[in-house]
Amino acid sequence: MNVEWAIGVVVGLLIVAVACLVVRKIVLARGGKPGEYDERQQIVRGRAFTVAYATILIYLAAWMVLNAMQVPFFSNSHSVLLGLLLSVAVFAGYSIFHDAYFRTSDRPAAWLAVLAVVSALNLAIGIGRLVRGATLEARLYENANLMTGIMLAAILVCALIKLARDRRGGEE
Amino acid sequence: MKNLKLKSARAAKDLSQQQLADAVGVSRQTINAIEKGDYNPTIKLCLAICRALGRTLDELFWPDDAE
Repeated sequence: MNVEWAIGVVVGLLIVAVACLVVRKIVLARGGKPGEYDERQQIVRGRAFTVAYATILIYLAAWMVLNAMQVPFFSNSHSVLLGLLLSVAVFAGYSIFHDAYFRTSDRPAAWLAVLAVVSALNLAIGIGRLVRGATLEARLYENANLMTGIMLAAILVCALIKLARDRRGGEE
Repeated sequence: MKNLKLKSARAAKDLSQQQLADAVGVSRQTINAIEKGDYNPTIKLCLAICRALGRTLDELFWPDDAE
């Protein structure tokens, strides 16, 4: 394992942990309380988890068939990442369209802004690599940023569609 | 089966779905789902709604014979 890569992973995880702590502290300082999902949302999220789990199982089966047929596909590590991203996107999409993604005390706009920034950063890095990558593998099949950026953008689009629908529908 | 009794009790108190949701600690969509009959709340949530609206369980959640 490349030492620089390992340091990058550790530093990345530390930055995310610190960012989460800071956001939590700001929310609590403003008089907010740690968010909770209500009983209906918990049931929906349970269903979303089941659907996401089924998604990754189906994906793994498909991947196995592709491997057996020796069809060119992503590298092993990136194939696993793709499966995880797919299941996360399915979980998020299901939860979003059933009003169980945001907690009762959450401000969707703030989370969507964070999602947009992280998605844009990943897409920018991923597209840069797509243009300047040395090999086809590096450009397409080992482009974790592009995969992550597309997944986050898909979640963002789902959330925006749902918000727009809610605004149009209003209180029923 | 729509819960029109809940909807009318809420309207009688001049509360929006969001206000009732805030009072009982759930999301607006959950109140909406209960009113539309898409979700059967637990007894705990039923009691919280009854308290917020000043009604009894019978008045809000017991089905009429016709239902």
